[in-house]
Amino acid sequence: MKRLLLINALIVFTLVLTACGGAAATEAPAMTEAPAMTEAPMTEAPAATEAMATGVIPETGVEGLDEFGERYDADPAVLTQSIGTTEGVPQIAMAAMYRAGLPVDEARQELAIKCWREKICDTGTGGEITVALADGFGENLWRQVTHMEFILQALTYPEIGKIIYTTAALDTQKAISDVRSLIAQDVDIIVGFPDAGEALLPAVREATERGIVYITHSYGKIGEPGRDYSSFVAEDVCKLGELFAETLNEEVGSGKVAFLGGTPGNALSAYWQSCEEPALSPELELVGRADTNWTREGTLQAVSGFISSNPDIKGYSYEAADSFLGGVRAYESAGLPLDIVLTLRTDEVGLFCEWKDINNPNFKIFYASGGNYQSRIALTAGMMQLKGHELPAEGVIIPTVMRQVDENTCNPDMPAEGSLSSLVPIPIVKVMVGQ
Amino acid sequence: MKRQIQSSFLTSIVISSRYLSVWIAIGLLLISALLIAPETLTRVSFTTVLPLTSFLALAALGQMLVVMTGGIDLSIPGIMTLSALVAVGVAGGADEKLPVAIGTALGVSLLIGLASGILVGVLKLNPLIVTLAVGQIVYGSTLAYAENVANEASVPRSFSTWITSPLLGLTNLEWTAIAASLLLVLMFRYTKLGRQFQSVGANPRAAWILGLSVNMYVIFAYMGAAFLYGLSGVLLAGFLRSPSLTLGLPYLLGPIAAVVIGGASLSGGLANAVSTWAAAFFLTLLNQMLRVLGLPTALQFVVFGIAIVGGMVISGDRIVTLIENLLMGMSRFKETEVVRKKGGSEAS
Repeated sequence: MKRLLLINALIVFTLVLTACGGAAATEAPAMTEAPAMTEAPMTEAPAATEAMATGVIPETGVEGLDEFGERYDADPAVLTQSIGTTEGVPQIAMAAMYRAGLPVDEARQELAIKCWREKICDTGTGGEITVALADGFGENLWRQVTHMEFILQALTYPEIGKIIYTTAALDTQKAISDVRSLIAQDVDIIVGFPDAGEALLPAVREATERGIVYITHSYGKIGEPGRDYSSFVAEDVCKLGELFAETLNEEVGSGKVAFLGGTPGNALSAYWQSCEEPALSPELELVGRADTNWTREGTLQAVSGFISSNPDIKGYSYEAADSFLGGVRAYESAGLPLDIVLTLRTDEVGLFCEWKDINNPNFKIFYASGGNYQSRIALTAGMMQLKGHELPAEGVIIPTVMRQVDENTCNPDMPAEGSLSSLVPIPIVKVMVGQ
Repeated sequence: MKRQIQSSFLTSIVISSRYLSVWIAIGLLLISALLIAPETLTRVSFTTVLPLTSFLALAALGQMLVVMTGGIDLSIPGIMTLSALVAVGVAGGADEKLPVAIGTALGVSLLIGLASGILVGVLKLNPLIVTLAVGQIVYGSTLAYAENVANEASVPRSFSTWITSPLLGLTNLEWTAIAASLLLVLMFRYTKLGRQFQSVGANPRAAWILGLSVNMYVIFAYMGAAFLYGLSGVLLAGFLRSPSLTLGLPYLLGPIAAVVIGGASLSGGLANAVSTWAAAFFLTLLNQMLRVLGLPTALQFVVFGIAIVGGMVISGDRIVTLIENLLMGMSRFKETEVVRKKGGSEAS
């Protein structure tokens, strides 16, 4: 018994010592350590240079605005970086991208980080409009970058005085009460990603009845847009599936391919897969579909299952670039060469840098866009509606194009989980990931 | 004397029979795999099955310690995720900080185990509710930690390389899991501490009367369990190179299933680390076979659930009762035969 007591005492003593040692090492970078504006350029994007040169941008606003408070001459560089094309971009998205290209000075960066950390923040403009981002799940980097895009966009509007953020951490009840709480706080615009699905509709309808503009982003379409709520922002998911098929047809030619999806039964995966399958060439054999939960471990298991029975598989279509690092591990563990063509929806840079390290000419990656910027478009759409613009019930549909990863795609300055198409300045992303 | 030896032999058969079913299940699974999905048994397949078995086995061994005290632990996902993120956050990608990072992660896990142990052992709160609540607190802390410090960052490259490096036919990861499990087996089999731990679980009142501090053993169980969950989380982070906030989620029910299929008594006391390992292997291999078969996820869940229920039906207390009844039935039959023969000879 004494021995047991001694062991317990020793363990507790050791862990206290260890924890003390660790605490020092885990200190998060302080707010004041947020990189200065001069430290690194933005994501090389913004039309800042042109805008600053013309001197038309006051500190908190934009000149030359139309009746809806917007300009539509977005910088092509911003469009190319985020959406991937300058063609077929809807007017509302052009307005959002114009604002996304405005410069973000050091003070605004610090304010954005403060808003990101505090969840409810005063923008300091004295504006009367309150906007909120109601996330069904905000606990991964993609969602947090999307949140930051929303904040940065909101900070371009002097009329916005308060920004609120809620996350339900995949708890449906909390998601519903979050929306109700935002209604009670009398917000003007709610941008949401309804992970809770149709269960959220009554609360959303209530918001609409109270005159609150509710808009979803990233194909978070529920109920009937235009009646239950204002509108939604999305890329053309079916087109994405067709582009995946087109890429595999061209790059693989003939052989076996597989589809990887996210959580079981999720609508997004099912939609692009349903459009890709009929568009696949008859020379390609679809050996199966597997769910990954959009996690690296899930992708590892799914890919391992595929290569166990089909080691000669030649192509995969999937959404999440970062999660496919689990697939890379499966190939590495099995000792198989990554002689595959991968078509992806998102664009986390970690996989692309790993691709560079792997240096296998037979490993080809094609990606569309991370789409974090869609929260910016949703917010701008909401602001335009407040000023009388009628939003399309059929949604604000962003064009989709595929891009191929090459030697220049990996940006070593970006955190591995950073999205190439994100318009959040790199210094801010680094603070967000604790670098 | 002969009767005594026979009786002790039969007792040992009855006791060990509770651990038999998992081996039968593995045999049946291997035969099924050979017949309907032979790709499950290829080298490529095992390169995933073995690491995943290691993670599940470590978590299951922790759960086994708790189950041996008559409790159950639902805080596994939270502890695994938090330890993984702490390891990554403290290391900050730097190799030289790795020992401190792993030490801190395991230290934090032990602290969580200590808290659960005190709540269950000393305050006598229901372990199910306590660990569920502790799991929620840990998950909340994980969210807060991940948000501010180590958001999906990567483990130092040297650690992930070491984990997957081969050594005598297995990887260092698998050897680490085997070593941790072996220590546990040796402790239970050859140390006084291990024996006393089992007796406390089997009959806390009798153990208390014998002068053992039951509370301390319960605390020890929860701390040991949390340590193993933490170790599993750190290794999993190293294997995947970058942990996400969902890292621990698949390990809520898997370890409980492994412990039960491994023949542990849910009322406490009896359990076997080797059988628990075997059950973890069974569950991982079954999952892999279902994936190789290409079944839709919905059907995979159904088949997996049926296999767990089937395993529970034929394992642990049930099989013991069955064999006891069979043996008693045989012995009664023999006695009746003897009496009948005696009666017959007297009558003649």
